[in-house]
Amino acid sequence: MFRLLMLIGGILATVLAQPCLATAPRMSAAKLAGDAAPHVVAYEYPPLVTGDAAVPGAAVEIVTQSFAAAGKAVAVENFPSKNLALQLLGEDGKAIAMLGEARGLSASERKSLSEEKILLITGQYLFYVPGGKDLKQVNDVKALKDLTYGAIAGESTDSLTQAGIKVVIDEPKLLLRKLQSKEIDFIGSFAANGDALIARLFPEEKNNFAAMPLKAWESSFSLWFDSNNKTSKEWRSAFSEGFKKIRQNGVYGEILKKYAIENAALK
Amino acid sequence: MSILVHRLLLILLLLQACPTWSQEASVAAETVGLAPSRLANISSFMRQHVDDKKIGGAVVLIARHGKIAYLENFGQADTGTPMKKDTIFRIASMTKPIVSVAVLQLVEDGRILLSDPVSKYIPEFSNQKVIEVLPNGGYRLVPVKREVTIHDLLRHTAGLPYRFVTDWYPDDPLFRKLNQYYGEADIDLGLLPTDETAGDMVKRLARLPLSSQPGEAFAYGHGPDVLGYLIEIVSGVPLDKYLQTRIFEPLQMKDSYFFLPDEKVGRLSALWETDWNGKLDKMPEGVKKAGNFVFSPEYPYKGGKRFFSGAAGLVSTAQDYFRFCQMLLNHGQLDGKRLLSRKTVELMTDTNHIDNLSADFLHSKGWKFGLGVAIEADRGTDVDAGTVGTYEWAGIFSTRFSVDPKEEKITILLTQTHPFAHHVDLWDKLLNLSNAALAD
Repeated sequence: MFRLLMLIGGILATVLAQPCLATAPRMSAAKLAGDAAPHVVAYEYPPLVTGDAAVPGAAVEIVTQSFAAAGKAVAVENFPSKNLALQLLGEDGKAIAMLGEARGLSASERKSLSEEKILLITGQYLFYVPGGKDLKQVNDVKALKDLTYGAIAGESTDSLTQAGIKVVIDEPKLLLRKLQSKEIDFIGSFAANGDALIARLFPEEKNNFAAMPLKAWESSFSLWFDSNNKTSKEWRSAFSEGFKKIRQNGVYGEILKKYAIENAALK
Repeated sequence: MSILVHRLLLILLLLQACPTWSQEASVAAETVGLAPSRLANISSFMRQHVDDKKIGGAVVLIARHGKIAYLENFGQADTGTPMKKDTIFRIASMTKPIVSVAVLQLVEDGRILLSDPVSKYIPEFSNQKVIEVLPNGGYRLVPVKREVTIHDLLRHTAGLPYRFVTDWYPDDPLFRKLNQYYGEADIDLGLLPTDETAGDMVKRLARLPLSSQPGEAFAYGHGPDVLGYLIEIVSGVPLDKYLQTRIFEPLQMKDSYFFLPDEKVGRLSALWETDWNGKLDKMPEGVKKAGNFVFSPEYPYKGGKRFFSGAAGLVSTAQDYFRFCQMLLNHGQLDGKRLLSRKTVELMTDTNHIDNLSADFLHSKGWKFGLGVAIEADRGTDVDAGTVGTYEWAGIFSTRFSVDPKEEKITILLTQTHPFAHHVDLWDKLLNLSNAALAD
């Protein structure tokens, strides 16, 4: 009798453990459950946000360490699109903040956001060396007159057009390709970010791209809180407290050193 | 002396036993029920297109009952280089039926099920969201009702449309938003030299929202790119090696590749830009952007050569693609090599997998979709391939094939012409001429 009960129990356990056997498509309910924990949304911006779990990026580590220092466990979820991250911040109640560059947000987008700066980044002008114009010594934008600059949509280029520079607008990857094929003369890029894109697209040519000794822009890389979210005040306060702690205890500096971006430290 | 004669005879016998494409070539048309005089009309028709500078050149192949009855080259492959019968073409989306066969082989191997969620093999496909357009023109993201399956990828119901499809619906908020996401995420057809792998792109694609709930809409696009990466994960070998060993070698498709070996680059046709009105220019190397369709002619021989696009990456010849079509027409086998079972070929080429979903992208309402191929379901519509059950697909550089199972007839047109839209007129007329040559 005992063996019979064991046998029936075993069969039931097997059947219950595989509830999807008779259904199609076959999937686990957990796969549809969605995101459970509060999280920060981010978009790829190497080496600040990489999407690599082992080396997630300097900004990601700063955010997670800051919240941890304030006693909060927060994960950073990375997406390949800034606008998707922004959309999720606005409509997903579980996204408490977005990590991203100030330059990439329009004035209207910023209206409903509050900013906690975590890094200061400087852009540089990149050009392609082989067979092109030697721009290594250019330290005044006026010297670039009649050349063509590749800008991303929304980028402020007034100072360039005033200097007589032609502007072509496209996506970062295509701008880099156009630079390499000499359709344009220079592009702007955060140094480490440009390096990462070059490494991905043209690994054998990384030494063929060079930077001018001319600052293209300064921008902040920040944690953005949705002002319409009722809990954002609480989360922002926790972040602020933790961020202060990691700047004081040296963790912030160690993270910047790990990613070789000490010059991006907040003053 | 007799030893020498014996050896020569042996060599001759071996050569005859060695199956090459020429085995099927050039049978007299009338022996396979095609009228030579009618086939001659095709030659003058194609020459006129070259003379009118609508196309740079072309290869046309028509086969019946397993034999090539018509194989002609027209115009030039490149400036100063005549088109040849063995010129190599960027077949682009004609890659999709080949990758569909590869996936179905894995089904027959017992490795995967069509009903498997893709996340079982590519975890990034978990927890996906769908763009939902709101009545006010805005949108929101909603969770998927069910996960994307391998079946969805094969029949384009995964909600992964190509970015260039968004050009056709410029006022549609859904496609505008999708276009923005795809642009930022660097999602494209893989027709640019890059050091990335298709897997890199597929993993980014999986993190973006879908255009529709899985299974609820036909949206032509990136499904086969995902399938190519899935084949690599399941089989444990890169897609180029998989196709080489499981499809190209058994079928003796000796000129089909993702990336051409150096010694064959010279056989690749140039790409030509046409206004279909006498203006025809060879497209130079470099990025070409036509709306949201981005490519550069040199992708088959430059870059890291690691991006094996299961949706559009292959180059091939008319003879090679004929062998692939003939395998399908023979219910899965060719020259004693079986690639798929009869039942699986039926599932791929003789079964409608999109029910009554709107598929305006196909020719007209008379066409349905199998697994990687369009199938004519009703002749009483604007675009008729000649027989209900005829299946076909095309490539964006103006290549196309048609397989008519009832007539046992294969028609292949290979050109290298941009933009794609112009070739439709040429193809429809060519297929009419091909059908008009039936004489039994």
